[in-house]
Amino acid sequence: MRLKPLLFLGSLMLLATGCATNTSTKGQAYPEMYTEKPVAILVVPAINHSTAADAPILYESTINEPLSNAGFYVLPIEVTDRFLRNEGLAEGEVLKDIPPQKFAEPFGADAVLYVTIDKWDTNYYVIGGNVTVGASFLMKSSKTGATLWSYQDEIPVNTSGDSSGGLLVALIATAIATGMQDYVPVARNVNLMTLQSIPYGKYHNNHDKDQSQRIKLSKIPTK
Amino acid sequence: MRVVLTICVLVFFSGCATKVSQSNLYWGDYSNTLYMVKKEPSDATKTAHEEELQSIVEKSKEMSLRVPPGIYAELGLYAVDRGDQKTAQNYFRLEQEVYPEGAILMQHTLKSTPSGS
Repeated sequence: MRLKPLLFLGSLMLLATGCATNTSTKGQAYPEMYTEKPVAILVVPAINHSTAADAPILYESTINEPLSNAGFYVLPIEVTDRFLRNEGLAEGEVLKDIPPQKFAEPFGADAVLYVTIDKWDTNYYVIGGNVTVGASFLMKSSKTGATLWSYQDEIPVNTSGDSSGGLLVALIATAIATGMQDYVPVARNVNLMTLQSIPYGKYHNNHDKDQSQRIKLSKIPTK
Repeated sequence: MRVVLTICVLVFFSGCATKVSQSNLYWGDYSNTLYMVKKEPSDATKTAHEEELQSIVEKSKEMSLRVPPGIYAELGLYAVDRGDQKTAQNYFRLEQEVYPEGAILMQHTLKSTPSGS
């Protein structure tokens, strides 16, 4: 049968392209990050489409750390928040319609990070639980307005702790300190997972050396 | 049970004290104390966060690390809120010194915190 090898070849190709769409390298996925090399990042308040009212402040309390650790200079969020609030721009929904170029001069921002929290679902089981967080991250150049980096994912974070001892201990520690379940470690984990795909910034040892690092690709978020 | 928990907490905090990120930054308990301020702004939560910021500065210096982005600036804001403009300006200058990328914003901030008093 002449068809058989063709079919075989066809399925091989499908398999190969299937793989290619799931992973890529940082250099292939986000070439503009390497040409523009943004350093100063303005983090604006998140847009919350989830049912968790706390999600935006959880995000805002936990983003400075991993973004700075990835090598960027995060413009002091508490300072920029005050300026934005004074301008009546405290809402993420309002901010998303403002061209990122507008933030270049007053803040000295190279890029603006927009985040939409799509989902924050808490599940409790008899012996534990998890939180599924869906979020879209979008970094836009304040020089050109172009998208430099984007990532969208749904991340299940186990809160019963069998997979990550550190997370469990952290949850217990905060529960003791505050008398309530605290989601700071969950938010921290989500930011950390998402930022794994971002090309490192100026202050990271591997800045401009990570083009060939393989990453898991996400759906490109709709603007 | 209580003893086990206490040990867990101790292990957690002692782990924290020496934890330095890949970019060579020390963050202490930053995210937690900041979240508490945002969740329940009160004298107690603000004091706890300000003390954490100061401890991050001290520990970073002890370990000869850069003070992480925004820490000096946040300390400056607390000084502004107390009406201590001189201390505030000093912190904003320190932020700018460590991170020249923040110069435009810090200049902007310095302008809006008048000297005097």
